[in-house]
Amino acid sequence: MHISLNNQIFFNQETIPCYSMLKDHEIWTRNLTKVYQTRKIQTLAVDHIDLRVSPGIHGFLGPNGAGKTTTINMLVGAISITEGEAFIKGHRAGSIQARRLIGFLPQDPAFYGSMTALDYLVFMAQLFGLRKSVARARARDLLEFFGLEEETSKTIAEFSGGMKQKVGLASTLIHEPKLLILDEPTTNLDPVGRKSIIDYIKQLSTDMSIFVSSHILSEIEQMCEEVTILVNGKIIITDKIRDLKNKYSIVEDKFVLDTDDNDLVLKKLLSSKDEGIKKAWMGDDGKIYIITEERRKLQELVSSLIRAQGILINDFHQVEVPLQDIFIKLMEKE
Amino acid sequence: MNIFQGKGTVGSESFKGFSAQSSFMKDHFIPFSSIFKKTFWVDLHSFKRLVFIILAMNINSILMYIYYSEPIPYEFAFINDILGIGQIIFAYLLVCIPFLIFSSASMISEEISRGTMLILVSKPVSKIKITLSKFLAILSYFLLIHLTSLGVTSILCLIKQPFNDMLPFFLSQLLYAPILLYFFGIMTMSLSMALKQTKAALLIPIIIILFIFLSVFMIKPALFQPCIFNKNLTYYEAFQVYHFDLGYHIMNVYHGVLELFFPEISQSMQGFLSSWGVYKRELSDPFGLTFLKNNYYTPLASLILLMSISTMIFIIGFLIFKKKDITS
Repeated sequence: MHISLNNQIFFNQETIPCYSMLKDHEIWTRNLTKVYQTRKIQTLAVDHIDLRVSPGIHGFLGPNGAGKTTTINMLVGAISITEGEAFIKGHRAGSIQARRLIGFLPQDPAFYGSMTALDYLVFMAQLFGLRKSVARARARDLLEFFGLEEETSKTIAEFSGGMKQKVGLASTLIHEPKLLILDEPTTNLDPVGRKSIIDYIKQLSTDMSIFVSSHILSEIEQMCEEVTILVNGKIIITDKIRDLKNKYSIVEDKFVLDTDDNDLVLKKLLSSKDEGIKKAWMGDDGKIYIITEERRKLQELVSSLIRAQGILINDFHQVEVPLQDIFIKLMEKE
Repeated sequence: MNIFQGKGTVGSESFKGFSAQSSFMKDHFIPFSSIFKKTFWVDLHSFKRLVFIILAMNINSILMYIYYSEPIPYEFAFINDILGIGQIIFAYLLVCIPFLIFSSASMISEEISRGTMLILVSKPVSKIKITLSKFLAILSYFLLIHLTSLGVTSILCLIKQPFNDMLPFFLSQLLYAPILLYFFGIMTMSLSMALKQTKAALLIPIIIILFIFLSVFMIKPALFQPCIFNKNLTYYEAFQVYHFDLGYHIMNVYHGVLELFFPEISQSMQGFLSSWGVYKRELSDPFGLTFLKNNYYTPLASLILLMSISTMIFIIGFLIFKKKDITS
């Protein structure tokens, strides 16, 4: 049992952490579960997840249908929680206090098409209790920030997908939220639109925490410091991207080597299988790619080759494992 | 990075003004009024629709204006006899209420299916506030339409025909319309909250209205015949159909409102109300022109019944909506 006042958790008896601990986390969930129930079928969409999101920019990864949107919808209070609990900065998810702190952009956001962007932003601001004069001033500032100041006479229905997404993002900022929750913010955008939205998100991350879901791994890699990977409604890992890369690159190291005689070096490498070289090949860029399980042996081999053949090295470095490879590896494990 | 350069900047004079405003304004009044205004001006209002509804509601008075070439002699010039029945049947039940149903049916279900409700519920506004502000906007919009329509009727009448009972007519219509609008509006809105599809929320009240009308012409004449088990009672009375007859209660309330403003109910109005079960023909009168008031329910009891039914439907609808998962 816990004492709750205005949906804030102040104290607990072992089971629920104290308010100060919850407050340190942007998002804190325990056993968060969602079961969709129809007359005949029960679908477990989110399966007892413990999510811990620290301040900063946090990616929420997972394939389509993993339960990302369901989790986010529970956090913003749009759908009920079947089991478990969730807190936003110490406030129970879905409470008025929690909703005041977040700016939420859903996947494929819907707009009132007949409204202008300015009117829409003013309306959104007023839902947070801002007076009209303040709301208008803020809306104009946001339109300027997103480069939409010239479009004030157009209705949102006349906007392109990218412009609509900018309006959506602007609407999440109107009340100066502490946490942005963005559900697949770049879906349905062209590459230019995607880049633009990613750039804005990076800029915004200096002022607030951002929790962003996506199934596009390269985007998450560009934006986030920390990720949580969700598969089949279960969290399979939460870690910093850097740590994940370090962790998973140990298993299989990939190196790129560029010398003044790559053909000869490749031949020598392939003939020395016992030196821990698992695979070596010539890439499309004319460089040699090597996969080894014993990096020390590879280094010794390369240096001995250089000495013996008098070859000059232009480049020799370890290839950073893309997040996508780690993701696929983890998925295969699951 | 500071996005807010202008008046919206935290710490600026205007923002200080915002922080100083009462929490009632910030938490309740501003969000409520913003949804109200958005519903009124964006979802409901369109100039073409407004003109069309007002013209349609005034067909009766326009026809009267065109066809009554000479003023009716003063002793027969009663607007409630000439336009009253047309007003209730045509202007309200056939024009205003169907438009109200059409607007209310989409109010919640459409927002859910379009995905805009997901945006609304993620803001610090409770679902009851969303629902009530929307309902109040619908009610206000149609009351305004009703008032404008009554104004048009009155102007047309004043130009063409100096009726004796303009003021009681105007006041009785003014009082009765909100009751009808509340009943059908809240019922449709509740269905819109409870049902997934707008079509279903639209269809049920329309079927109710059609049934009310068709029953007057097709079922009630048979029910008003003397019962074979008891010649003193009609089938309508013997089986106590009036308990479940929505048409009866609606017209019984109308009768109550008329009684408030008119010293006596005219014979033509009694005849009209008899087809709904509010009056019955005096069988001893060979011409069938004498009517007796049925006192199954007092008008106040009918009003309480209608309000209770609609409010109960609203509570059920709202509870379903409150538990409903809102997704895009």
